[in-house]
Amino acid sequence: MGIDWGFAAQIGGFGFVLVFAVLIMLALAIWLVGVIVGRVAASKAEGGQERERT
Amino acid sequence: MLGFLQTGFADLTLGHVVLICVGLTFIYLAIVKDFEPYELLPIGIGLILANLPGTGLLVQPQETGGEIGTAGLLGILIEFGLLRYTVLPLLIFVGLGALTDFAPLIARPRLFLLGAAAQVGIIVAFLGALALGHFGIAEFGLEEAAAIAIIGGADGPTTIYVTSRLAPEMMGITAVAAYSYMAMVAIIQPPIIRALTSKREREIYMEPELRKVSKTEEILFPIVCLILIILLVPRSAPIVGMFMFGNLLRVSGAVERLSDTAQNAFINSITILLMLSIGASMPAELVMRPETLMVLALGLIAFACGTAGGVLMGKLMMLVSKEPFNPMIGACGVSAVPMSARVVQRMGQEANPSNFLLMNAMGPNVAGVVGSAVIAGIFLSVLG
Repeated sequence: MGIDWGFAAQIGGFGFVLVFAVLIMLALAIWLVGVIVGRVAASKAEGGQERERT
Repeated sequence: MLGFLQTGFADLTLGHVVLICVGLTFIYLAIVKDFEPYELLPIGIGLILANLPGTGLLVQPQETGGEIGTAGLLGILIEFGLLRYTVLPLLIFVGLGALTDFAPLIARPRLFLLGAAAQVGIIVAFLGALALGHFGIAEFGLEEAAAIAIIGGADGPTTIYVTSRLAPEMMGITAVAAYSYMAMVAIIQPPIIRALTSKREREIYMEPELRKVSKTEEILFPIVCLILIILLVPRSAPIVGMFMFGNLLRVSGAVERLSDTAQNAFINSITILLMLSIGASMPAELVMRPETLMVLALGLIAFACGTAGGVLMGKLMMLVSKEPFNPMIGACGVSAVPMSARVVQRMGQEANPSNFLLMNAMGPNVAGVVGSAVIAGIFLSVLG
């Protein structure tokens, strides 16, 4: 069977790189969401404590 | 006198008998050995039904020319559930999403890297299958190679979906290979992990408690993944969309009944239909070929290389990580949820009884599911 090895290598190589790229982007996005949610929660907690004090 | 009564004996071939025996073996493994019983039991029955001659069960509606009442039950399930519309493997992702806990991955997003590295097995098997085609050993083209390679993702429904789109004639055998290797994780992975790690590395203690993940993060995770992955790889949408939808049902806390249904009644019903169809997709004419053994061998190579890729990435992360990092958890990047995490947990405790790696191992485990969905989308974009 005639295989187009150039095309096959492109699928394999590009595919593997793309999986890494997508999952790294996801990791960054999820990390960023965690940081933002953590800061919002912390500032809410601080605000709540200040209100309690006043 | 009973000429009108046509028995199946006259049409029974050696191939049928062999596959009926395979079906019986699956049923034995499911009932007695508890090997993936929810999959292997219906597959076994489907396999037996598909190989008993003269039943008409496999006649698909498209073969009847529209004649009412002539299609067989399994033929209808195969045509509409798998070949023409491919709804069954996709619907099962709703249930899988509802059953998946992403918290270990949200707590440590860098574990996504292990899920990516383990996909190397898919690429190796893809090129291996093409090499067999190139040298005339098997008739594997690009589509068949992709369908075989995806077995390395150790994710049954993804394997079924990709094969049904790219090489439908191989659907039954690739699905069985994927589920069989998932059931054999405890046999396949430990020697590879041992070969690639030293005893000192296996002993590395990791903090078992991960940071507490907030409800907001859990809710945002499937939404962010769904939008980002589908924007980057649009053809992964059917898998990723259903998977993340199911997970949102679970974490939202707003639709308890839907979540409960997706996790139980829904996934169980779809599993029955899907696995019966998969078993029935393996009549002797399609399976009794030398290519079948090559598919099984390549699937095993894909699985083994995926495990090795994950462990090697784990070793790299161990070198750069500020905290102690046990490279064994990389093996879970092949998905096979949660069996590979259990294997690593057991090996971790064998090496260091104070170690409890399960939660750390679940991160790459679910990352592997996302990784194999992405690579499935890439294959479908290029070849589908």
